Amino acid sequence: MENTLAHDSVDLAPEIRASLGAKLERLLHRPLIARVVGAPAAVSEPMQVGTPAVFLALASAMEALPSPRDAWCEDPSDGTCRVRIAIDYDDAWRGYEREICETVNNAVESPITLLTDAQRTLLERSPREFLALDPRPESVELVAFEVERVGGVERIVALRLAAPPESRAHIRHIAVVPNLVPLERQLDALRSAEAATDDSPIGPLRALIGLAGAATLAAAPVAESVDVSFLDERLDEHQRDCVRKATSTPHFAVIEGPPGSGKTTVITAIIRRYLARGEQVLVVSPTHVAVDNVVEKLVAPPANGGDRMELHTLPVRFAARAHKLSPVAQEYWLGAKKQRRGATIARRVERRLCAALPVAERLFALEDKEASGRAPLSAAIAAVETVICGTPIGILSHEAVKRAPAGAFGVLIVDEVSKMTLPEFLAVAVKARRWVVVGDPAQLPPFNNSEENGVTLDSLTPPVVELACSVGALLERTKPALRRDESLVVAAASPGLAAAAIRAHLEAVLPMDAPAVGVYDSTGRAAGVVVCAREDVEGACAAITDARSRGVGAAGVRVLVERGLTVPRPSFASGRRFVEPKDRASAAIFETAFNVYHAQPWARRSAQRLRFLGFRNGLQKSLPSPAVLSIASGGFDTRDAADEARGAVVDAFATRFAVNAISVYDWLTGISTADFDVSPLRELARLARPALQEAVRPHVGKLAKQYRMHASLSRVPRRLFYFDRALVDGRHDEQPGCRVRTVPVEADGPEGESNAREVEAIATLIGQAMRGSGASVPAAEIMVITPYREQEARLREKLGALANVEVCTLDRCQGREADYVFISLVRSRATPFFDMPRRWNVALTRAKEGLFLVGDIEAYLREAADARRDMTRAKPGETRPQMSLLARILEAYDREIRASRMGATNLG
Amino acid sequence: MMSEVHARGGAGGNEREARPSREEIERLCLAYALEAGGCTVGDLAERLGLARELGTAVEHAIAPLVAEGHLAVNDHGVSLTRSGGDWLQRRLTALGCQ
Repeated sequence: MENTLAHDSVDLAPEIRASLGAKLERLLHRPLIARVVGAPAAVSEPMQVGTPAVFLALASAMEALPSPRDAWCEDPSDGTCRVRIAIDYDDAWRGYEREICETVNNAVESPITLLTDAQRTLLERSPREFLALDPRPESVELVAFEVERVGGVERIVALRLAAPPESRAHIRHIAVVPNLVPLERQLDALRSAEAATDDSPIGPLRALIGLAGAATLAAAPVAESVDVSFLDERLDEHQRDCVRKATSTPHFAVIEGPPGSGKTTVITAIIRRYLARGEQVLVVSPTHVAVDNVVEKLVAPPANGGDRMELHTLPVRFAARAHKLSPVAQEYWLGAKKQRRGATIARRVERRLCAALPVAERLFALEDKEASGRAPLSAAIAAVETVICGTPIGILSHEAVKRAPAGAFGVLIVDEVSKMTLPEFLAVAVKARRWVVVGDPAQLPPFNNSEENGVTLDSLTPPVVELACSVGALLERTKPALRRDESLVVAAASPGLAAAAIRAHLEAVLPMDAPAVGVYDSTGRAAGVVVCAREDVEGACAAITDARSRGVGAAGVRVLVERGLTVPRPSFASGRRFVEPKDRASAAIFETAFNVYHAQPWARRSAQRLRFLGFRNGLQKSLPSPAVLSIASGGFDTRDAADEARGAVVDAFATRFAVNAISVYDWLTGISTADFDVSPLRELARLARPALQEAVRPHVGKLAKQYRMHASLSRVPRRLFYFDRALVDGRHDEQPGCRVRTVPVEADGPEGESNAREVEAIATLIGQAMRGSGASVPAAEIMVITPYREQEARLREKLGALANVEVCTLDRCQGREADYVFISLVRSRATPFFDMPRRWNVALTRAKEGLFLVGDIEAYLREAADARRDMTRAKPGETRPQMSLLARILEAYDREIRASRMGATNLG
Repeated sequence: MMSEVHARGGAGGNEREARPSREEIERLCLAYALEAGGCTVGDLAERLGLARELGTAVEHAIAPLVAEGHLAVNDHGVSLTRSGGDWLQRRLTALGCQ
């Protein structure tokens, strides 16, 4: 095949570099710094001879003041430390209380930075110089934070840290300096890949990111096979096939496994084979639960009762702290400074010696537990690190991995790969020379922070183009009837040019209902888009407000500022507010394109219309029109030239979107571009890699059978999300019947992100089950899943005392399972958030024995019935009902339950 | 200090009164496993209840005993030396484990 030898794909390295650079710049933009309450302003200096008496007296008085130590309140029970802080809410952060809470909340379980006065000054003056400080300022993990309600808003008043600072006498400030480490490691990996040659161990990775052609994959050395007949494994035919593909691939292997199909079993079988070959193995997953599952499986005693200490039973579970890990995984935990694995291995060595040598038991009975020393056998075995497990970025903090050269590990196994983007994968992938990726494209996709991803588009268009597109994006989200009354002040470097660009863009994308656009001239325009210079923002806002108070215009005033321009904050007394980054065009593109990318293929295959997919048409208002590009570039000669320029920009947008939002699974197996009918998703076709996928295809395996769920629990997910092509029941259930129950709870008042009635209903059901049933329920594992964090918090508050009940959100339940699962629906009407098939597939496939759907079931069933009825009046040729995904799901379960009852009646 | 001396298997002090540290116990077990005769490190791993693949780790573990002259390594594997045998017997007797 001649064409496979050519360089057949887009070089993604510059796109990855530009994206990571943009994200770093964003994080450095404005660090949040708080003063430590109780720390003195400065360390007192020694008094000189001749110092006036008043200074001596003041110095003495200062000694009596609370010492810096008093600022740090240690909790001896868990070693944490509470510190009161003060954030300057009246100056730089005025009006940003919610943003601050979000920033600090996002920093929980991450390191925050402790600063001296000098370090604070440097951080504010030059964040980049600050980041280059060596040694780095002290940092400590943030465990929790406390808020107080002041004037109707929540303000942060105290932090709880994992440990008190070592140099607390000098610490005056605490900064939530963004964690740049993940991005910097991704950049490091990119550099490694670029510096490598095509015939190096990481040559295939170069092909993956378009630095080399797919021919590089053909040149990769074939793995040798080993005799593993000694392994006592029970694998089904699909699992065996996947293991064979993973261990014979010269480069990549992909294993697709639906819920409960034995992915962890397959991963451990693969690990054993690579170890038998004498190769070192890295195992990563974006979630701790998935990593812990592998560790638990590796160290579990074999079914035949034997318990020799073997290489695969000695994994390293690397993590910054142990508390997030499962009890079994904690036994193998290794952190940067502490560990438990050494003690675990010493205990296991003791057990083995006692079983093997008659004298050992008597010797260990005499052991002096207080004696120090280095037990030679335990220490030598603990030094064996052939299987290292962790999260993709976290594992790179482990010295053995950090120092390893590119391609040092025999294989990298990635679980839940459908959640990882290309740069995230690359960060750890460069350490290995073969890659086995395991996941399920029907489960959760990569995490999308639209604001963070949006900045990656900034470098692709001039600021004035982005400004015009952001006006388009804002108006797209305004009701059409209100668009003409919109009051938007736009601050631009060149107001005349910006006004022309906005006008041209709106005429192109909103020809029917665009508001008037003009340059501020102090005449007091009441509504529409008013473009002004940065120094005129206050005046423009005041003019609009004055006009509005005279009864002209209706809406509040929003202020949109051109990228790179700084504007003094206007007063907030009159409802004026800045347009937040999440509402700008770039974030809107990512938000909508991401939702469409992950929902539209399902909607097409399942023959259902999802109302929220109609939003995709709004994408064009956020994308640059030929008209705005023409104005920004000084005009094109022909319309074709303008269209061509627009095509190039949209192509570039598509590539940045792909790099930041598409999973490694899709890159290796193919992006389903045929499903998309809007830009910039249509343009993804340019990124298709047929030669790469052709080379990987022989090493793609699929697990088809599930062993987790009772047969009645797998039927609906199998039909709805796997189209009867996977999730086949692999076990025979002795007890038939339907194990799904709907628990109707009527809506109560306005809908939010929590629902007290559902909390009560679930608590009552679990309480009754534990009191009134046999001995099995109290010991069973129960999981409660809900879409929203607010409801999650309420459920935790109510059910927290029950040890066997786990509460989590839809987006955090992947990788977990429980005997019984309750799903609290919260809302009686679906939102776009609810219309994501991957979310519900995960939630509905966690239960082993029973599933309880709690919420306003009737409302969803009515919606489904109405949609079916509407089909009778549908346009000719339209065969797909339009309803929310949740209505479709509940309709399917309702039919299942009814069929089961009828079956039982017939049998009876 | 005394326990440290004993932990290293050296002479001196009242051995009958000293309780063995984990370090000394593992050293004694390594030596004890070879009392019946020399073997390869892979075999030694199996005698200790470990998988053969841990032979390299066992090789590292016996290095201090080899350096002290209690064990000897040659082409055939590892074996207990005369002085090693004496030390093993003396300590096991002192600890009442013989």
